[in-house]
Parts: sequence; structure tokens; C-alpha cells
Amino acid sequence: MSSSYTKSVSSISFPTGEYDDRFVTLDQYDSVLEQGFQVNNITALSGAKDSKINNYTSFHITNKSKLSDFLQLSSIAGDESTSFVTKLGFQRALGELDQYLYIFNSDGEVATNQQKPLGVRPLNAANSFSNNYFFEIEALNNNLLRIKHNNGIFDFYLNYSGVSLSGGEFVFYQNTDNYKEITQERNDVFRYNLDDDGYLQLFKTIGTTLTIFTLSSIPTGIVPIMAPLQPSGLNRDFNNLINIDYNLDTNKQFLNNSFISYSSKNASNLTLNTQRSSFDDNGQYMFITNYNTISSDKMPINYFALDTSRSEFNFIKRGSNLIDTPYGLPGYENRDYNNLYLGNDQEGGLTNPILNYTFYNKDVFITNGTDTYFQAPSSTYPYTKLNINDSTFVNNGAFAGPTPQLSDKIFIKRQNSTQYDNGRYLCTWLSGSSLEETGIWVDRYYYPDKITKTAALSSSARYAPALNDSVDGVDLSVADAVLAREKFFDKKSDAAIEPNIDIKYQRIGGADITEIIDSSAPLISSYDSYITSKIVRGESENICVDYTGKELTFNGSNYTSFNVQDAINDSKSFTLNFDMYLDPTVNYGFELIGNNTNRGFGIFQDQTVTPFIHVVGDYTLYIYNTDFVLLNKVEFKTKIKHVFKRSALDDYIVATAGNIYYKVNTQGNKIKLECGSGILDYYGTHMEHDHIDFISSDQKTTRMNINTMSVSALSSTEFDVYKDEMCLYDNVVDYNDTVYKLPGSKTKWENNNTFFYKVSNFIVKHNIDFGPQSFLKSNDQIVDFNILNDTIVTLTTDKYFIHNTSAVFLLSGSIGDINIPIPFNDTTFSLSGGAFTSIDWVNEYIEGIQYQYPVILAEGSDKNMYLAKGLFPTLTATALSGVYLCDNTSQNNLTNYNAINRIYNNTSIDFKLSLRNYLDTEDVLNQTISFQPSSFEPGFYNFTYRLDSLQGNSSLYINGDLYENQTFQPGKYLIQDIFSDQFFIGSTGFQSNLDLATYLRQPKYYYSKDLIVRNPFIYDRAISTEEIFAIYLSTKDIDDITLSLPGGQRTSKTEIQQFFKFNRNNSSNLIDIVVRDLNLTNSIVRDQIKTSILAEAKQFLPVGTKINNITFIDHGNS
Amino acid sequence: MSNIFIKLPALSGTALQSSISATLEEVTFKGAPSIMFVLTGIDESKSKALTLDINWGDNSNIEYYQRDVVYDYREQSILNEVLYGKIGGSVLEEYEHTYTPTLSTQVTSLSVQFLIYFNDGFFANIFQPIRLLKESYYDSIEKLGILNTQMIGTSASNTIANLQSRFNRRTYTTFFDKD
Repeated sequence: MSSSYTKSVSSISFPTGEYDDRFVTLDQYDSVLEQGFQVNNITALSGAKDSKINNYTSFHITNKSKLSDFLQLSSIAGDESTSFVTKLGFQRALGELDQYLYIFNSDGEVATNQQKPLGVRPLNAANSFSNNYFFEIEALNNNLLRIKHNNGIFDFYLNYSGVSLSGGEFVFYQNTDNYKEITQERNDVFRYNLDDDGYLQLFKTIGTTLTIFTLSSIPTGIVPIMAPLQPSGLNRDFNNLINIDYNLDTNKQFLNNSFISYSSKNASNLTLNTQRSSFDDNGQYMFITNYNTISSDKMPINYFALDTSRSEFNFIKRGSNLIDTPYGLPGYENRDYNNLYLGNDQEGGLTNPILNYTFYNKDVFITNGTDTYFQAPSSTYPYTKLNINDSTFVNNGAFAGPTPQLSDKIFIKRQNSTQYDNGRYLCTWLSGSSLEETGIWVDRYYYPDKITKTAALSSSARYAPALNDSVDGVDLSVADAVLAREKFFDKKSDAAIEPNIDIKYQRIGGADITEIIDSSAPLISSYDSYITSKIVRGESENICVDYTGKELTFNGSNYTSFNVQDAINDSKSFTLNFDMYLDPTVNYGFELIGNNTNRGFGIFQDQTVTPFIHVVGDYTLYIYNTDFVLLNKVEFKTKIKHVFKRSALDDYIVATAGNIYYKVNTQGNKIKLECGSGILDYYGTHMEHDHIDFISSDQKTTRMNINTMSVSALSSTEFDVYKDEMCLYDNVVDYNDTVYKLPGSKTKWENNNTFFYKVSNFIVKHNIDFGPQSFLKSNDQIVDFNILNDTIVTLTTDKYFIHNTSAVFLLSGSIGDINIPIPFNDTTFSLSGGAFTSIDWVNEYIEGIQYQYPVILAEGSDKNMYLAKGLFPTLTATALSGVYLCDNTSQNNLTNYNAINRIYNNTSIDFKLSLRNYLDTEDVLNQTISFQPSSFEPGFYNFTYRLDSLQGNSSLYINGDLYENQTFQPGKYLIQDIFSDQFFIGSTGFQSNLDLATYLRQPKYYYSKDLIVRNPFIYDRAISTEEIFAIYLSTKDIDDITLSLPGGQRTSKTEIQQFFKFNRNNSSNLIDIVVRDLNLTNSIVRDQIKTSILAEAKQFLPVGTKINNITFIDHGNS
Repeated sequence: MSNIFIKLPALSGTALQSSISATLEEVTFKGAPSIMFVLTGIDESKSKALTLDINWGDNSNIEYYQRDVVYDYREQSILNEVLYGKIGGSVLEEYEHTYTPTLSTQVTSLSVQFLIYFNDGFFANIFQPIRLLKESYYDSIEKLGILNTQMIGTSASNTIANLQSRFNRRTYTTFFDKD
């Protein structure tokens, strides 16, 4: 284009913008105008706030907009498919079990490698980890999906075949095709709808009708069908909403600005709190072009984001004005950039470009632990008067607490006589009942003639008047009784910010928290010693080591104990508070903290340990430790029938001839005797934690309550397969609160619904769902068998056989393989010629490390009894002196691990409280608050356990928040002792102030490993919620905060530190010196040259220039 | 920004008896219009729209929307409920698209397709033809003002200039070639 006006210009071109990253394209389009010339339109430059050319650069400040409006990410498009593995559940009404899709073989439908049938059943019908419940959702795009099941070998896809509404059926067919080739609905492809809460709906077009995957009840059960959509309504009910284990989490376009909040409670990791974060925000950007690189057809364009989230004084904080923000919530957009100033020198310009911006909020900086006085701005645009609860102070980080003493307080000068009229005004404070909640600002009033100011500050009120109430007026007579009791009250705050009003803000600080803790008078607030075990002259002794500190690591060889039981027994209440490093992958052992034997409190993890081994001979019960050292010998008047061992430190029940039942504690003391006349000549038993079921020779089943030892009749049922087949049952099991009669004896459980029992020379495997099947047959008499995980060990008289529970043979051996070491002459004998009696398992912790191994009782050829342990096939035996085989010896379990492992949990952390009524030993209160460590991220957590026997509450707080509260009869235990023994940390407490290892004569047994406990606090009272907060907060930092106050529209400027690529003034101050071709290789000479250069360089180098490095390069000389 | 209101007379107040296909009247635009297609006028009182596929007709990706099973009032506008009585949200909202005319032809004709599946199993296939005419300097720029200029020192006094349209304040970085 040429004209007489532009003689010096031969053409004007509109270059195309280019961005360096090939995955990012600039939003622009070329257009040829009707007038014949071509222009390039760059979206980012449309409506730009300001454009300047200076310093070899062209600058453009964009409008407030999303970056994705200006740039496109090409990598976002592409494969939209996703897949995840989940169960497919249908929620049912309250009291009914949820139904799940399941691959199973019913009604004779064939399951082959080509096809699998689909059914519906609840989770407990099989083990919930059974693979048959799991499906892979293969979402091909936003519209279509397939449902896949993999049985470990083949992939099967859910097909619905049928061209009309009736006659279709669901079958999984094996298939291997590639999902990328699927573009439309087919037999195995469904349309779907997946919502944010994890509900999936499946649709399919059958003929011309759109149908939905629905559960339907028919006489034989529940079946899936494809039902036509209802013409009206949402077509959303619990028969067609499939609950999956995932939520739809759409990928946000990551190009745009975001404001991220992290979950504050998981301080040890960075988990996004999506509720409090904001994604895809607007921002402003500076688009720049270095014009030395512009040519007539293209120009490189780059950009950087302008800091629109910074407040007046450059704080990044929540709580901007309410004008620009979505949903009326305080946001993060604090600045509007308007223009750019680069100086008057067009070529050189300013080194630092200046940006002018508009903002609306005034910053008030508040230091923690101080009082800050300030005046509200002269304009509070857009408000004339702003209630404190409508301000952004809570979002700015104001601290909410349970009492004024532990929260932020604010005082606003009274402008008129109608403010703060109720009673005597004390303060305005931010009230919050839990640390997770944001608080509300309330005014506290008190009656100085009834309560002191300090007392009014530190309590929580229970009377809550409404915002408009004037308590001095109408309500006072109504509330007289309340006021007499409470003496003060809170009311949603009347405080309002007006222009130029005087404000005092009192920020809580570390000193306030320390003061609360210091005045709380704990019994224990730090460690003063720990105990470790040491061998002194061949005997192991417990050595007490002085240690002062707030943190102690228990590493499997130390523990500590606190002598607090007398004070707590006086007060009848206690609080335990500590920080513990919780790692879900660590197994901490048996009892971590406490003194729970048959009374007291303890924190347990693996409750399936077996510290004791029991051997029965006629009238005598021998109790050994796992090294077969005799700890106790208990004699009974009549012959022992059965020993029922419960969890490690619980009392156990001994049944003896003559229908006599004893309760015996772990030290072997008989503490109760009961004549169980309700149980007649029983055959089989089934034990649970609090009861034992018996089946008698008259085929009646009875239940004994273990606490009271009272006996009641029990109804029982038969398995369908045994109905009309058996004339006599001699065994009993309890499954899902139903008691079933069984044949056989020696029931052992593999998992929740599979158990094994012995019937003559057979071992029967009985799955509750699939019925019994013959598992093993022996030619010789089966003496005993036992199961650990999936290993089953069977004993005949002189041989053992090991199989897995799928009947695959693993190992066998004979009694002659077991050795008896004779230490005196350093030889071994074999146990050959003896006979096996029984087998059991030991589960124990030594220096915090878990060991599981078999223990076998056998009679030697010398007629002495032997106990053997080890790992198959290497077992060593020890003689039990004075113990001989009797009729009843083989009837009893050695450790009862199989039952204990079924009844108790070995992973959850259990806060267990046992209280005993001293007037009635049968009246035992057991309360447990449990949590699974796997639901916690690794890190330090604060735990507070509080027992308030006056109010009848036991509560666990985790990180200052109530986790669970359990109640019991208020006042009942005010006259009872609570603790029997000292309070242990890092070891298992036992009776008589011993730890379990000492009692067992096995040093370092049941010590905890990898247990870090810090800041232990023990109180002889139930501390207040305020004190629990304070202790949790004592290890945390209280931040300084910056409040936002509406301050009218104002402008300010900011500078950008920028390195201009082509600025002549801009060069590095660091130089490298290269010494070439000196052919010197001697490093000493080189170092001397370097030193000389450095010394002389000072004389001629420009000021400010520094030598970065001196290198030697030799060319042509290798 | 221009609005096109999409209406389906066959659907007002009555349920669909069968799937329908409708072609609406052609609309002509000049330049590179941003068009807001307003679908809120389609009656959903008898049957709700479950899904919506939009083919913009200009080779851009086909967009797919589906009705939220649960309407999240925390994040979504209630205006459609208040103004049009669409309780629980709807996929029939407003959708914006920017068209750019092709460089080589004077007139570009294309049609936008809206495919709506209703929960009674019927669908509505709506075509909206659009005709795009080339931009004109007098329509989409009106007048160029010079924001600032700079000679490029390293070259033979070529100049770059930021020009701004008085019509829509769009800035154009231009290269003035002296040779």
C-alpha cells in the first residue's frame, strides 16, 4: 500500500503473534477486509487497558479476563477416555443392606472363560474384597462407557442384548478390542451420566426407546433390567443411581489463575482444600513483544501475569471488596491495573516500568498477642455502616475460640447511646465451637455484681439471645433463672464499622495460650525419666534413666511410667493429652499407652497378642510364657474341662467338672466362681468377647455372659445342608448374631465366613455361602489342627502336614524332626517316639517387632510333656517338668489365637476404658473409641482423652476437635477408683504396677517401637474445651494477620523489576576469565596464576565487576 | 455480541410426540461475530433435556453438555429458575461462540446444529444456518488511531506502531516497512 502521505513507508503489515511454546497458541485471527487489506486480530489486545512502546518493547495491559480467553492449550484436547476400578452399589433404605452388582453363578447360568453372568447381592454375601464385586468403568468420552470385569486372566465386558424392551439380558462376554475404535452405542457400550457426588446412571437406546439401567424386584430376588425412562420427572431414584467409589473430578484448565488453600488440619502435607480454593479466576496480564525481533510477517509475543491478588501493602489474603467477587463471598481480586508509565525517554525509558492500579480495601496489620488501635477510613465505600459479622475479618484469619479468653476480641467506640445496651458490655469476640468452623462475632455482657470480669472472660455461655433482643428489657424476667445461673450471656454482635470510628483489635498470641495451660495445673506435663532393661550379673533389671524433655521416642527398648493413679482415684476423673506421630504403615504393637488390665484406660493397637500359653493337666492349669517358663500354677477342686482365653490382659473363664465356672485373672487368681447349672453336659462351645455359647447333650444351646456369668437359653438354627441329615449336633458357631448347630469339633476360622472343623478323620471346610465340603481326609487319627491366615497345619499322632486353605500341600514332617537341646553337654535329642497333643499359634512383639510362630504340645517317649516352637520344619522343644498327659490336656487350646484373632482387631487404634463397680464386680463398663490409622495422613496428631465421671462422658478429641463422645450413667463412678496401676507409655502396663515384660520375665516384650509421643499432659480432672484447644494450639504458631477494611476507591502504583533483553545498560557483573593455550597442566602453577590474576585484576576491572571463574583451555594439545 | 434466540414452537406447552428436526431461519453477520445462542426459550415443562450436543459448524470441536443430576446451588446461578422456571437447572442455557470468516471467500455459509435428547426418549435436532460476510474497515475498525510508534534502530529505520481501533479499542501492532 502506498500513498502520498506515507512516502517513507513501502508497506504496512500486521504481523502474526507467535508464542514460544508449541503447545500454546495465541488466540488470533487474520481477516481480509472488504477494502482489500489483511489485518491480524489478537484477542488479548482487544480492549487492552493500556499499550506503550518503550525500551525496545511493546507492552499491553489486558482487560480483567481469564488467560484461557487469550491463549489456547493444545495439549488439553486429545484422548478423553478414563478408567477406574470400583464396586457398583445401589443404596437401600435405612436398615437394609446396600445391593451391589456381582458376578456369580446362579440359576444354572454358566460362567466360562467366554461369558460371565451378572447378579445383584449385598456385600456381606461374600468377602467384600472378593474380585467378583469389582468392575472397571471404561469411560470412552463424556458420553459413552463400557463396564469391564477382569478375572485375573481375561477381560469381560457387560453386554445388553435385545432389540425390544422385553427379552434382553445382561451377560459379560470376553473381549479384547481397543476402546479407541468405539464411536457409538453398541451392545457393550452404554451412555452414561456421572455426577459430582459419585452417582452413575447408565442409558441405552433400545429400538427407538431410551432406557435406563434399573434394579427390579421379582419373586426370586432383585435383577437388573433396562427400563424405559419415565416421561416426566427426573428419572433419578435409588434403583437406577449407581454409587461408585469415585467422585467426578473434572480437570480444570490449568492455564488460568487459581487461589489455593491447603487443608489446615493436615499440617504435615499439602492437601488442597477445594472448598476454600478458587480455580479459573480472572486476572490481568501484560503481553509483551521485543520489537527488535518483529518482522513484517511475525512477532514473538510473551506475557506475564499481573498481581491482581495483592492487597494494598502487598499481602496475599482472602477478603477483597464485595464488588468484584462472585457469589458475594470475599474474594482475592484486590487490584485493577489501569495504565503503565515508562518515563518520557521513549528509547531508554525507566528501568522499572510503573503500573498504576485501583483498589478498594485498606490493610490493617495485626501482630499476634498485641492490641492494635486504628481508625476506620474516612470512606467505607460501598458501605455507610458495616456490621462486624459482614466484614471480611473472619476470612482474613480472625481467630475463633470457645471463650473470649481464647479468641480474637474487638472493641469499637460507641457512637450512640443505643449500642451495647444490654447489661454490662464486656467485649466483642469471635465465637466458634470447633477449630473447623468459622466463628461468628458476638457481644458478651455480664453482671459485675454476680461474676468477676476474669471469670466472665473464660467461660462459655449457654444463653443465646437473638440479634434484636434487648435483654435488659423484655426478656430479663423470663431469663431470670438463666441469668442467675449463667451471670453473663452472648448476643450476635451489634458492633458496626463506620467512617472514622476508633477500633481496638486484640489478637490472641502465644502468651495467652501459655497462660491458660500454665494455670491448668497438670499432674504431668513432661517426661522426667524412662526405663530400660539391662542384664546385670545374668539377671535382667529395669534401669531408670533420668531424662527431662517434652518428647520421647519409644524404640522398642524403653518405656516410661507415671505415678498418677492416686491423684486420679481421688478425683475420679482424668484427662490425657499428647501429640503422637501417627504413621498408618507402622504397627505399634499391643498397648501403646495406659494401664488397662481389668480396670483403667489404655490405648491399644494389636489386641490379638498371646503372651501366655496354657497347659491343662487334670485339676491343674499351668500358665507359661512363650519361652515356656512357668509363671503360674492354678489348682482347681474338680477336673478342668475348658479354658476360655480372651484378649491378652482380660480375665479368662475356666469350666471344670461339676458345672463349675471360674473367672481367673491373668495372674492366676480365681476371682469368681459360679455354678452353671443352666449348662448341662456340654459338647461344643463358641466364644465371643462378652459371651460363650454352649451346646448341650440335650441339643439345647445356652449363652453365658462373661461379665456376670449368668446363663440364658438361646435359640439356634441349623444349616440347610445339615437339616434332616443329622440326629445329633455336637458343635456350635455364632455368625452374624445367629447361632448355628454343627457337627464336629475344634472349629477354626479362616476368615469372616469360612471355618474348618474336624469330623472323625475328616477336616471339613465350611463357607457360610457355599456350604461345607470335605477338605482333608487322614488315614490316621487327626489329633488337632490349626489355621494361621491361609495355612492349615494338621497333626496326627506322630506327623504334621501343612496345606494352604485351598488344599495345596506344602510341607510335612514327623515328631522325630523336633529337637530338644541339652545346654549342659551341648547336644540335642530328638522327640522321636512321642505323640502330638495340640497345636496353636503365638502372636507377640519383641522390642516392638511382631513375631508369629506355631507352638506344639507333645508327649515325649519318657511320658513327660514337651512344648515346641520355631518355624516349620525347624522346631525345638522344652520339657515341662511335672506335667503329664491327661484326658483333658488335648481338649484345650494353648493360646486360643485363632479365636482371639477372629474377635479382636489388630490394626485400629483403640482408646479403651474399663470401669468397675466396686460394690458389684460383675458390673463392668467397657467403652472403646476406635479409629483406623489408615484414614490418617502420616504426621503428628494431638489426642485428648477426657473422662468426666460426674457428667458421665468419655470423649476423644483429635487435633482439638471432638472425634467421639460416649456416655455412661452420670455420677456412678464418682465413688469408684478409676486406675489400679501406674500409667505406662511405650510398654504394656500390667497389674501391681509391673509392666507386662517384667511379669512375663521376658525383657522388652510388648514394648512399642517407632512410637514418638510428645507433650504428655495428664490431669486429675476433666479439662475444659478451652484448655483442650489451648494445649493443641500451644505447639502451633498464631499468625499475624492483615484485616481488610473497605476504604473507598483509591489508586496506587507498583514497579516491575524487569530485565530488558536488549537494554544496553543491562549486563552481568560477573565475568569468567579464560586462559588459553598456556599448555600448563601442573595444578599448583595454575593455582598460582589464578591467585596472581585475582590480585592484579582489582586494579583494572570496573567497579562492581567480579570474577566468577578462571579456566584454562588448551587447544591442539591433548 | 449478538444474541440468537433458539425457539421450538412444536414444544411449547406440549410434550413431543416424536423426535423432531427443525431448521431455523438464516441469520447474516458481518465480520467475526461473537454469537450468544440462547436456548432458554425451549420449553422444558413437559420433558427435561438430558443432553445437548453442539456442532458449531466451523470445524471446531463438537461440544457436549449433560444435565446435572444434582444442581449445586453453591456454584450455579438461579437466574434460569427464577426467570424461566427451569427448576433444578437445565442444559438449555446460553452458549457463546466466536466465528471467524474464511480469508478466501466473500461469503461463508455454515449451520450450527443443536442435538437435544429429552428424558422421554425423543430428541430435537435443530439447525441454525449462519451467513458470515467479510469484515469491513468501516464496520469493525472504523478509524485507526496511533497509540505510539518507535523506529527500530537495528534496521534501516523501519517503524513499529501500535494502532488502536476507535470502534472496539482493539490494538494492532503493525510493522511499517521502509524498503
